[in-house]
Order: sequence, then C-alpha cells, then structure tokens
Amino acid sequence: MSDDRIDAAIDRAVREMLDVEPPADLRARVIARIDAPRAFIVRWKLLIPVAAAAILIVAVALARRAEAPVALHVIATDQILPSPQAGAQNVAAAPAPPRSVPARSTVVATVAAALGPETSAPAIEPLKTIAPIEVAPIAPRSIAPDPIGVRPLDPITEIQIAPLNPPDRRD
Amino acid sequence: MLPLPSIDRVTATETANPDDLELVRRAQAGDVAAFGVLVERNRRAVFRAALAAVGSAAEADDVAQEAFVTAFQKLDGFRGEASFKTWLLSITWRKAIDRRKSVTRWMQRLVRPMHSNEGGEEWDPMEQIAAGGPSQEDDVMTSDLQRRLRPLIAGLPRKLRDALLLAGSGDHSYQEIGQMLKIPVGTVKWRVSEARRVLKLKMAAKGYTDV
Repeated sequence: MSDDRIDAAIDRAVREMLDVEPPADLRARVIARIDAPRAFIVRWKLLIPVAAAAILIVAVALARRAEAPVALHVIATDQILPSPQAGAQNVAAAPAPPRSVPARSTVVATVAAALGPETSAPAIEPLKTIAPIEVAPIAPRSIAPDPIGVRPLDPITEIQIAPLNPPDRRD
Repeated sequence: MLPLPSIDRVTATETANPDDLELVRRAQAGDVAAFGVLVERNRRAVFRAALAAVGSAAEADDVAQEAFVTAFQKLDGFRGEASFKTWLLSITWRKAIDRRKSVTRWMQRLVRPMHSNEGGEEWDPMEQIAAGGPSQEDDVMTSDLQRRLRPLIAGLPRKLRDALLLAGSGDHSYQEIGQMLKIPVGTVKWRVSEARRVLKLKMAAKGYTDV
C-alpha cells in the first residue's frame, strides 16, 4: 500500500473519530449557567441585610435578658452573730480589746425579679451560724537594748632602754 | 465523492473576525445574548477540541460548557492580541486536560471494566470515539483499514494523538494548535508527522498495509 493511501486513510479515520455534533442545546445551557450565578449573587446581596438585622435582634434580646436583676433574700444577721457585750466575756484577760465586733442591724431586703410572672427568683438558703473569732490583744513590749559594757584596757608596762656607749675615737 | 484534503495541506488561517470583536465588546459590557452568538459560532470547534482530549462525547459536552462559562467570566481578560476563537480554544484545552487528569475520572476508569474488541485488545475510553462515532450502517460501509486504524490512533501516546486529532479535525490551524498546546508550531508539525510514522509502523506490524 502506498504512503499516500495510508495517509489518506489516517486522515479519514481521524475525521470520522471526531465527526460528532455537539448537543443542540449547548448554547441554551451555557446561557442558563451564566444567568444562574448572577441571580444567585443578587439574592445573596438581599440576604446580607436581612441576616444582619436578624443578628441584631438576637443580640438585643440576649442583652436584655442578661440585664434582668435576680431576686435576693438577705436574712437578718443579729440572729447569727452575738452582740458585742456578750462576745466580750469570752475574751481572755487582757486590756480592752483593740476592736469590737460592730453592731449589725437587721437588714432584710428583697428585690423582686423583673422577668415576668412566669419566672421566679430561686430561694437562697440562710447561711450557717458563724462563731466569732476571738483574738487576744497584742501587748507591746519594750525594745530597749541591753547596755553594752566595755572593760577598760590593762595598763602598759613602761619599757626601760639602756643608753648607748659612745664609739671609741681613733687618734 | 470528492477526496478529503490531506491534513498537511490544511492551512486554516487565523483571521480576526471583526464581528467577533464587536460581539466580545458587547459581551464584556454584559450583553449575554451577544455571548450566546459567540457560543453558537464556536461550539463545534470547542466541542471537537474537547472530544479530542477526553475521548467521550458526554465529557466533551461538560468540558465545552465549562469552557464557555469560564470564558464569559474571564472576558475582561481578553485583550484581543489573538482571535477570540484561539483564546477560547486555549481555555477549552486547559479544561479538557484538567478533566482528563481529574481523580474522579481516573477512579471511574478503575470502576468501569476495560472493554476489549474482537481481537482481545483492551481499549480505553478514548476508543469510544474510535468505535462509536459512525452508526452501524456507516461502519459497514467504511473500509476495513479505517476501522482498524481507529484503535491504533486511540492507542498513540497522548502528545502525538492530541496533535494528530486536532490537526485532523480541520477546525484548527497549526498556529492555533500551538497556542492551545502551548508548544511551537514546528513541534506541532513534528508531532503530527511522528504520529503518522508510528501508525504506519503499527499497521505494518499488524499486516494492515497488505490490503
């Protein structure tokens, strides 16, 4: 077989291998895909302010919930701590205590929660009785040092030195 | 029937179509309908270029669609140094090669069993276009030599096969093929002639040239 015939056969085979028509709706599908992302982008731009508003509403609701006060029950402390007079008898013998237990007035305060009728503040159990702490007074001590005595020195014995003989003269 | 021209004599010149430039300008301004006209004008060349790379009409369709969408998105980058067709085909070829290298496609080929022809030779998806292009009636009418050539063409090394198919489609000049494959025109011509030489050797080895 001649080379020309082989070349021609190769050419024909190649053309027939690629002789496939593209789908007729390729253009329509391309245009649809081009338009679809643009519509998505437009919807996305509208969603951003809506999402921002939703976040703001949630943040405000959470902040208002955090600011709501909680109910407190403070029970009178007279019944817990002894009066200063009663407490003084228990102190050890010493000068008047440097400080006394301050008198505590009865304090009862209740703050109602403002969360609404459905919610109620949790009850707080009273504290246990606390025994007073007794501290002995601190007596100051003198801090004068002991005198320092210096022993006098022993007298020094005088040293006697014999006079020198004059040197012999040579005449 | 007129004989088909030899591939070596195909010299499709690349001339910038002023109508294309006007359509590109309108598409750059947001006129999607103008881009639709460009799609219609180039869909055949784009589809066949993709088909030459991936070997499957279904995948070539996906690649062509991706290439057109990408071209529209990157229209602002078209400076007009080359023709719009060449620029579009470069994008198409890049998409096709990415598709060819994709892991998904590789895994599909692992899952799908390899087919074998009557001679017991295994062929890859590229050979789908070799065997499935014409209808059964046409297949009967084509010569025995061409029928035997198709698997041999599909079995060429990819670089030689790509150059041979692109040049043989008649849709692209050597310059366009060089820009698509990012190789010099001389390399394109060498690969085409080397593909022919290898095919002739294979045909001789199988005794096909004794017809």
